[in-house]
Amino acid sequence: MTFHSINKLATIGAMLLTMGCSKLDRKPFDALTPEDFNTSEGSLQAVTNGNYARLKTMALGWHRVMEFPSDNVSLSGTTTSHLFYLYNYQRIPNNSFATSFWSNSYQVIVSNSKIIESVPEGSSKENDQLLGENYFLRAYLHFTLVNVFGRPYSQGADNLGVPIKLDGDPNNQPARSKVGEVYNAVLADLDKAESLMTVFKSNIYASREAAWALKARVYLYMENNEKAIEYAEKVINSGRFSLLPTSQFGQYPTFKPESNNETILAIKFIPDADHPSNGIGNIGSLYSVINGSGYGEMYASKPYLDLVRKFPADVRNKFIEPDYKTGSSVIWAMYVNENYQYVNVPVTKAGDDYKITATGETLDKEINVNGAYDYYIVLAGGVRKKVIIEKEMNLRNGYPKFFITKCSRQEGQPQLWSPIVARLGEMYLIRAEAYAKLGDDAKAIADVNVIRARAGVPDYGLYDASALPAGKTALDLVLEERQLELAWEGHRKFDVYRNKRDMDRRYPGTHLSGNSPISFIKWDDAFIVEFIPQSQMLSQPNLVQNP
Amino acid sequence: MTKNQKLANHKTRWYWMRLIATVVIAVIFSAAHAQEKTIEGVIKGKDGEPVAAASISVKDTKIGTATDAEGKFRLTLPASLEKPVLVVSALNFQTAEVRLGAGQQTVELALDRKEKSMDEIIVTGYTNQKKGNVTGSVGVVSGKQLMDVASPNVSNLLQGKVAGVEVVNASGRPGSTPAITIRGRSTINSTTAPLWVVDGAIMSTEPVLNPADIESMSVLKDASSAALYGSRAANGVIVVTTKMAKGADRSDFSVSGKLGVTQFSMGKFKLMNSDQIYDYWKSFANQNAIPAYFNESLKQRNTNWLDIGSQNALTQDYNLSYSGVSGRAKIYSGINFYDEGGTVKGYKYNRVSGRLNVDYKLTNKLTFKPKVAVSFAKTDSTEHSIYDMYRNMPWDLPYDSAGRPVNARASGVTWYGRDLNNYLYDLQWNFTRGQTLSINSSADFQYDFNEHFSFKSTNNITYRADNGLGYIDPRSNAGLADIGRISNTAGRATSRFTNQMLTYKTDIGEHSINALAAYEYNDYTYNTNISTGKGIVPGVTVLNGAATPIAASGNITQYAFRSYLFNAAYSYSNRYSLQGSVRSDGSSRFSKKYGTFYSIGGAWNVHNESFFNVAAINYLRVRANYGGTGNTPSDYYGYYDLFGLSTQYNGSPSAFPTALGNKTLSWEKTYSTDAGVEIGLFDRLNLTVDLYRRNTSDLVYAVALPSVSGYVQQLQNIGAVVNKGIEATLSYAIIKSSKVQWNLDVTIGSNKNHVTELYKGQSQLNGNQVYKEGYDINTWYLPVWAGVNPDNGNPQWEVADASGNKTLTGTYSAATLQAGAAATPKYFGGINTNVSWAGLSLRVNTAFRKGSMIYYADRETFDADGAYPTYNSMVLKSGWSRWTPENHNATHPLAYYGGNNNSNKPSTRYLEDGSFFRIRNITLGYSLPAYVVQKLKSKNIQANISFDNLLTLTKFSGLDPETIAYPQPKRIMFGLSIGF
Repeated sequence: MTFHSINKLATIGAMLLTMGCSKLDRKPFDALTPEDFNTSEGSLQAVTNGNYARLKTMALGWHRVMEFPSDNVSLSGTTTSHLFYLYNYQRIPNNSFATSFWSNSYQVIVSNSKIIESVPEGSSKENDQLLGENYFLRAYLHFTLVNVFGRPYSQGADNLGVPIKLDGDPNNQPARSKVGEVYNAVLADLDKAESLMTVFKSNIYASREAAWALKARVYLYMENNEKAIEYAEKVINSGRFSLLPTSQFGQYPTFKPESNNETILAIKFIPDADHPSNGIGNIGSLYSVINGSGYGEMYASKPYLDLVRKFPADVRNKFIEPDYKTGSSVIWAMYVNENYQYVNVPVTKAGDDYKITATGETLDKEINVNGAYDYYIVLAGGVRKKVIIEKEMNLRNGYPKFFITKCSRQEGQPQLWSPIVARLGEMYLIRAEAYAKLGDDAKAIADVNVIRARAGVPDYGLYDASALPAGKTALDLVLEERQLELAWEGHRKFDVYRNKRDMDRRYPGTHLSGNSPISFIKWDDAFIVEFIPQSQMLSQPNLVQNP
Repeated sequence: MTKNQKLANHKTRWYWMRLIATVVIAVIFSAAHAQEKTIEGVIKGKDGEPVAAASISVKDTKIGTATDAEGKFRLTLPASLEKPVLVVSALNFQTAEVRLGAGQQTVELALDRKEKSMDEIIVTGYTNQKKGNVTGSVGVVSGKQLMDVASPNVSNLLQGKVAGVEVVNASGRPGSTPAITIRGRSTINSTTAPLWVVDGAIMSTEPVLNPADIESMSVLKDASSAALYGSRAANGVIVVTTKMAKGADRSDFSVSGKLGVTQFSMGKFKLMNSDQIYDYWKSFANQNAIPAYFNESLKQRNTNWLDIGSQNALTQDYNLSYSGVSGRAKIYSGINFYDEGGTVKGYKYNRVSGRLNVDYKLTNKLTFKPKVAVSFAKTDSTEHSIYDMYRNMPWDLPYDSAGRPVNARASGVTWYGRDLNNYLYDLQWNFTRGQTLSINSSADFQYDFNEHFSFKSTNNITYRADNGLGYIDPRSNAGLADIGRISNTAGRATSRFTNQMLTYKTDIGEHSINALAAYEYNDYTYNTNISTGKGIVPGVTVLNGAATPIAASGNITQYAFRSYLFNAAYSYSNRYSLQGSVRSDGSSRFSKKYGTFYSIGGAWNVHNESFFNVAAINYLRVRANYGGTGNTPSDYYGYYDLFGLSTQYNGSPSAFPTALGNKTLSWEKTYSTDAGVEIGLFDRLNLTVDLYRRNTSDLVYAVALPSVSGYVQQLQNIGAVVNKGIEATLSYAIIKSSKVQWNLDVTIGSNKNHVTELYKGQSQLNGNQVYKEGYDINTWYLPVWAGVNPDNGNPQWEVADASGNKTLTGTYSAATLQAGAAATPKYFGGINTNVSWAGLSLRVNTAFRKGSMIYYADRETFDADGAYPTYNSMVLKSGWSRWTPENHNATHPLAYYGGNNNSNKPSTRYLEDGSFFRIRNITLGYSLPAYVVQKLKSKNIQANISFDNLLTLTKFSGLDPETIAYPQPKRIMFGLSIGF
């Protein structure tokens, strides 16, 4: 070995050592550390955006825990997905959607609190607005949590609610507060939100008006009817929002939220980026198949169909799209048998009459308020059933596919939708309900009629406060209208139980299949409230489980 | 025996002097006695490797010599000796005698290697040690033993071959790799995978290796063998050595090809046919709930979806290798082409790989050892949906009258299956493709300063690039809305490794010392991009052809290690060995970077003691060691508080608190004790038994935080788990004659695991399992199935109150989750046997596992008592029966359309015994006789036929107790290999 080659060797060795002598610190590329942040407006905005973004992530579970226990929906098959137990009231303590809803809500709440703790009030109008938005989100999530995991306020403010978390300290892990205490905390945050928010950015961000709208709902749930009216009116009179005209109302979900003047606040989903995998994981996916996109397994319920089809001109019919069998000229008379199954009888049209194709029997008919006919089939034993006349439809497990499209088609993408937190239509109905409860039927019915007229219900379908339909109170009509108007927006379950009414689910759907199904839910049943997620019970010993 | 060995060692040590002496003597003799004759010869092993320092003596004389480094010798004999008998003896080899013919002047002899010699060299990663000096537990598999089933991955071939190494195959899909667990699971959140080391370089993951390129694999199982790998060694280390040419002035080509057919393996599993599912529906207790379409005419529609989706496929495996030695250079080069089709239709895997290993002795002191291995693997998938094959209804007809797949989602199509998914429809067009390019290159060199000191430099860069293409056709259901979609994925992993090591060895009398000190650095970068575009003309497969980009994502992740290591081994008189190691590891994953890992171990070769003289015992050694290793958290950045940036709101950047950092985060530490006995009996039987205990503490535990903390979890070093077990490796030469050899190898390992400490003593859920103090780490946590209520056929579960009293309930949500059996096997191993007679050889390799409970989740849907009526159902296994008014003692509840009281929800009902005994491979080979081979101008020709997974004995009701869904195929392969 020559000196020369030793030299070479040393050079190579030195090179290798250089490669080995870089620093040992490595930082993530797709995340920031607290040190990376300064308290500039940009980071405050980014973290606030992060909170809205998390609401998108959790929207699916959030929608499902609120909507699936309602009587607006009908599931066409059993499924391993935990949505099944939200839907059929066979509660399980580790329901993934309930868990996701709880877990994400508190994560956002803490993120809200961190901002609230770190940004002083009054530094600028813009910062105050952002602070206010965080107060709003914290209030909204606490409010939704207490309604999913606690009994309705009207059933007792002393029942167990949910933990109130108002700080960013990971070690402070509060136990469940009473329902009433949670409501108070919600109102306190909304007061803050209301006073801090002075900049209206658009309806995809929280605003003072959104705080008013939420307050109206909170007071309504508390049956503080005067306050509910007061705040509903603040929104109505703010001049910022207007009901979509009847001609556009049927396309409500197709608008991007900012160009929809009725929406007070929506969590905005944007095309493509928020429609991954063709939107298969989005809310609308379970309700419809559009252009091959979606599972399309949960349909409009029979009771809802009956309600909305009373007036063919009601544009709310447009949120339901029956999936017709292409190429078929067969017409069905559909009814529900004693086993709560759809029976589809092929019929043939003859003038105003329909004949059962197989037997030639003519269906009974009766003229209805629309000047058209309702048809009835007479079954063996003289049982007379009203039928739905439809073109032959596609079925899944025997269930006709009445696709719900109220959560689909934003900006033309099949399952894109921005879930609505509040819209002006609800404000009228809040006021209506509050008036009905205060005994002012005239004002209540007037508001209901605003909503009905806007929906395209003909004049003869509007109500007269002095001549209410037989057997119905003004409150009955308000609640019926709320179901009609706000279906698949997450209100129905709460509306029924907070008014101490029962949920009748004796209609077709797989909630009735299997052994010992739950078909009728009383308002004081234990299982109207979700279990506290098992994972939380394990990691937070001070939590008490629901009965 | 003892004395002979000592003598032999003595000889090795004085090798140089003897060599010189031999040369001198030879010169003197040849000069002084011209009338004498000279014999020249070469002594080699049966493997062709020259045997150095073999002693050659002439029977009944005092004449003798020894071979040189190339195995050559020269001997001068008095002419009077007409037919001398040479006695050749060498370390590790059986002594041989050869009678020379009259006038014969050259001799070439191939020696048989002795069984399990104490001087066998064991590769332990940083060091190579004589077996007689090893203080730890190392399982060695030679390249030859490794090759059995057809597989492109070495890890698949390890099953049943090393005691204590559990290899569970994950899938029967071509190219899939198994999960390897060594000596039990010792972690909750970190990896259980062992560390891979190839030719001295630490790999970031299981390396891509052609099994035919492998010389040997050593599995380092305990502290003494593995602690030198420090913070990454707690799961054991697999050290791979690739081939290098042997011998002197040789040139060997080898060509081999294997071609065969695979078959989809059903096990005992059966699905219902049309009639069976019809009768099943007829048995539903609530007939009135069944939709009106249900009638006898459905029986005419009978589709066998498993037949449609499965196939017999081809497997091909071709190897071409060259090894040669010439002058200063040694070379090994191998090329492989592997091609396998899936037994589930529509999936193809193939790989081309090549390797070039060179040793070039630049000077007597400096050797360069460059190596490069490149492989390019491709997958092409229009794979049929396994999920749907099991579940689609026999009543659904996949093709229309013209033979085209029907679109189950199209309006007007009758389709009964609940998912409305005739996967065949979209598969007409849609596909995914993948490519993986791997490059593993080393620039190593060694400089020997003198006989004591050497400098070894190991420098490796391993690069792996994965590219994927997802193609969704505009005509398919999945592509309708987007008018087709293309997605490109790219991942690039670069691992850099460098180790600079100084070694020292010396022998002073009976004392022998080996030591090393090294500096090491390793870093890793993974870079990924995914982009998706929509709006394509059918057939376009590049993003330039997509109308609109819809998604783009990318990220970089990195880690680095810096280490200092030291190891010293001392042995005295071949009787006592002591070894110690220390390694200081620095990792980028912690705030406090450095940690220290050490081990000490000792061994005693009892057979070398003068007092020990038992003829039947060839060797007897005991060894024991203790030390610490680590396991690094999977999370690269666990000590930072983080705000994740991967989301957006309304297209604007957004940040969300995603991680609560822990500044004190550190390694999981495993302190293990191992004691082993190795014994050789009657020159036939070798038995190694190891007892071990591994205490792992500071588990990197994702402490589940209640969500009111604002976080889901925080990584903390908390909790402990203990693994203890026993392992045995037995090899037995049943017949050991010159004509027939029959060997039997058995490996068995039994590991007991229990969690000893958890965060606040709290149990933590892990899906259907639980971590619970005092219980196995893989313990199932489920409602306990209490069978069918004989009165009404309804399901029942146990309710256990706090004091353990048990009652029964028919309400699923009232059932109590209970910790029960575990997924951890009680014992596992393999039985392998090898018979050879004349040119014939038969090898049978088997693997077994006992006592592993597996949760067969698929039964929730296809053994669901009607909960999924429009999924197909499995036929009840023999011994199972359904409740009927006549049969009250049934295993299965009365079925209802829509299910019976959640009877199909997770419970111990679906826990099954996953024990199995599998004949992994049978290979029958025939080597052509030497005279034929020579006529064909080759060195050897072998033909063989082999069967993979021919038989599996198990109680498991599904297809494969290892892979569950995609069974490992049965396979028959025909092979031919020629050496020349």
